[in-house]
Amino acid sequence: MRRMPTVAILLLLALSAVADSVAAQVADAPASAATRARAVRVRVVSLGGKAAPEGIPVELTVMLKEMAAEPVQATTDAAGVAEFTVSLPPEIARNVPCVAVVQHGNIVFPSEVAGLGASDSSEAVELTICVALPPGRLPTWSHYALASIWVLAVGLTVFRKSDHRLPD
Amino acid sequence: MLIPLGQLALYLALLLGVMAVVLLTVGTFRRDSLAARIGREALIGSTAMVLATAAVLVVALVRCDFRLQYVFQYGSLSQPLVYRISALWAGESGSLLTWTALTLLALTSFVVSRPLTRKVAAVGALAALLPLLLLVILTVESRPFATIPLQTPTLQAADPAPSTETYVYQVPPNGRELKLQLQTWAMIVHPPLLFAGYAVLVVPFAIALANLLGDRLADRLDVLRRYLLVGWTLLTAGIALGAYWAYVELGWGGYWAWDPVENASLVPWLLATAALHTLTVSRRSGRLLRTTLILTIASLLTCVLATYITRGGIEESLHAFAKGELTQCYLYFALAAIAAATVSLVGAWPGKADGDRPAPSRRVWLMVVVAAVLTAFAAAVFLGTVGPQVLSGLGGPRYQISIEDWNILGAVFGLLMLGVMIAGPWLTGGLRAKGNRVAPLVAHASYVLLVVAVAGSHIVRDDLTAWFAKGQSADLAGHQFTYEGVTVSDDAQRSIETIRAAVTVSRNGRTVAHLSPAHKFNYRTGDQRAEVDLTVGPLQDLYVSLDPRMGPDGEALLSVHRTGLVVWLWGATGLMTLAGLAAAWRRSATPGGEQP
Repeated sequence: MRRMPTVAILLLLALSAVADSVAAQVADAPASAATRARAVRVRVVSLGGKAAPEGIPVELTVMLKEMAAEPVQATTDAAGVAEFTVSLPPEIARNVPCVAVVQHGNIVFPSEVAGLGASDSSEAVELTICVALPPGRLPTWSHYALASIWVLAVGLTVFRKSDHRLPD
Repeated sequence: MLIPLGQLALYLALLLGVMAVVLLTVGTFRRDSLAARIGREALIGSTAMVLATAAVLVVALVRCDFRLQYVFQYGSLSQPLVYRISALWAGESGSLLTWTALTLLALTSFVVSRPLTRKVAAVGALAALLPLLLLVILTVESRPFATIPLQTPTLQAADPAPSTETYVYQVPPNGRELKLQLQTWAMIVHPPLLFAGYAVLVVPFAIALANLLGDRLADRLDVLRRYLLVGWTLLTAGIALGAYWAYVELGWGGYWAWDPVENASLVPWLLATAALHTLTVSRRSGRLLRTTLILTIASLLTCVLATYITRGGIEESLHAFAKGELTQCYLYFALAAIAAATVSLVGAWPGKADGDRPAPSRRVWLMVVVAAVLTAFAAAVFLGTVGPQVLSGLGGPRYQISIEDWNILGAVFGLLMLGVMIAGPWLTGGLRAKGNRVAPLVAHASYVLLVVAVAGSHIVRDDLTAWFAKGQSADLAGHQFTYEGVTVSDDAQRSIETIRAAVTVSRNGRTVAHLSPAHKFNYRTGDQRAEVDLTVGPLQDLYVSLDPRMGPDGEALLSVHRTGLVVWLWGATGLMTLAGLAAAWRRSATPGGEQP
């Protein structure tokens, strides 16, 4: 698998002010050996909500200073879902932002940013990634070509010698 | 592949639209048959391309292609197919596209159904200006195919070896969905009917403007009448459906609140009604021609202004004067057309049509009075809607016309029109007109019915809003409304929770009806909607709506209404619509008809 784009993750990280505050809180918190396990389910879909095929690599990044450098990886199952279990330090009382990404070529598809860790619920955090390539664009030259044909057609019609009289 | 095709179709529609206007104008001025013919083909091509554009957007909505911002805003995976399609006219760019397509269809139907003459070319060129303006707005500003952009990472410095070719592309997995209030059958039909009405009025507008500019006032009055009637009929049905939607969806027991959106559709309807009345005189005797033409032009211009008011809100629009240059095009178009009409009117006054004629008959005077009353009503509604915002935008005092004042205004003009309608034939010696009079008679009878229904709904009106404990009853107008409790259901697939109350209505100890008003919450989007329940009777409706707030012990806040004769209102507007259709269907044999 290609190296996952830390640039994209950092971009999202920078967009989240929450991440900074939580990171600061964690930095000040006393260290502890015990951790809490949290389940994260990432659903990968294509346009129209169709589940992605099995085997798509998904990367989950938890935005803690200590963990951001080491994203966890998993692949999708037959239902297009990748399951993760994240271990959080017990001191974390507030939500830690996390985000999942799928990379296709040079495009990174991120999920929404979700909070992890605030509650003791055993329910998995659900994330969804929609993998759809950006639509193509008409090349600029085609606009100019069409406009030129238009000018030619209108010009030839307007400036030719008129010999058909329009009835009243 | 689909989205670039849509963009291409829109671009081609614009190019062909400009071509149509240019060549039809050249054809008119130079009497050049070939230019006019190519212009007509370009118009047909532009229509086809706009239809293709709309089709691409519908396919994107049906397929939930959330890469498009429009689809994300109004589409949803859990939305039923019919609402995915009706989302086409839910937002600004989709509405403009619908209006453009319908306008071009109406115009094409006019141009291809008759031999191409200088007059047809002139009308085509003038009428194509409006869809052309809409196409410019769609292409440059509104952009129905605007996509979610690819983001280039901006924090490359944070990465020691960033890949410069990496992009972030976040497509939402689901859309925001249509508002729940718009997910009703009335809202599937109401907007396209209104837009179709606005669209069809383009043809009489262009005929009227061409007649004024060419100083041939009586040309093609039969065609003008037919298109005006079709437009008027569509507006009638559209306004009535909008009122019905407000009645059954908004939960306040009324159907007309003199809201700017409602007023904006009423003004063109009033002006078109006035034009239809003066047209009867114009076609028979050639009198009131300029009045008819000006009223016809004004009915379309107020449609344009109505869209300007309703799409984006007038206050926002007033604020947008400084920055939204293309949005101003609406106003430029209206002002240019008003200026053209005024110049031609002044130039043609006194026109050849009037000449030395005998004094006008009483019938002509009656139509002058009818037109004056309807135009004054339209002007009052227009000024009352736009005036306060314009004054406030110019730094003046902020005031608002209360619904009671609006009701008084409506009652005065409504009764005035009824008086003229009843006294008119008597004063002018009865209905001696030739031809088939069934459709006009039905239309006027349905207006009487409408006035009776509106009066009944205001006179016979009782309202009660109160907290009900389970099993508690309240009396309203001789009926007992007993609250039996609520049930909560959850549609997980659509993320909709429904709270439904059970209310039993009885009279003198006998159960009359079981009503179940509900309130729906979309917990994914945060949207909510009241779902009223009512019993419809020939004399009164009993109507209950449920407030979303619930008491700690299951108490419900219910609004109970009794409104008289509402069903007559729907009957009256239905009859009026049928009468309009019948009149438009019938080919008139009166003079001033279609010329080749």
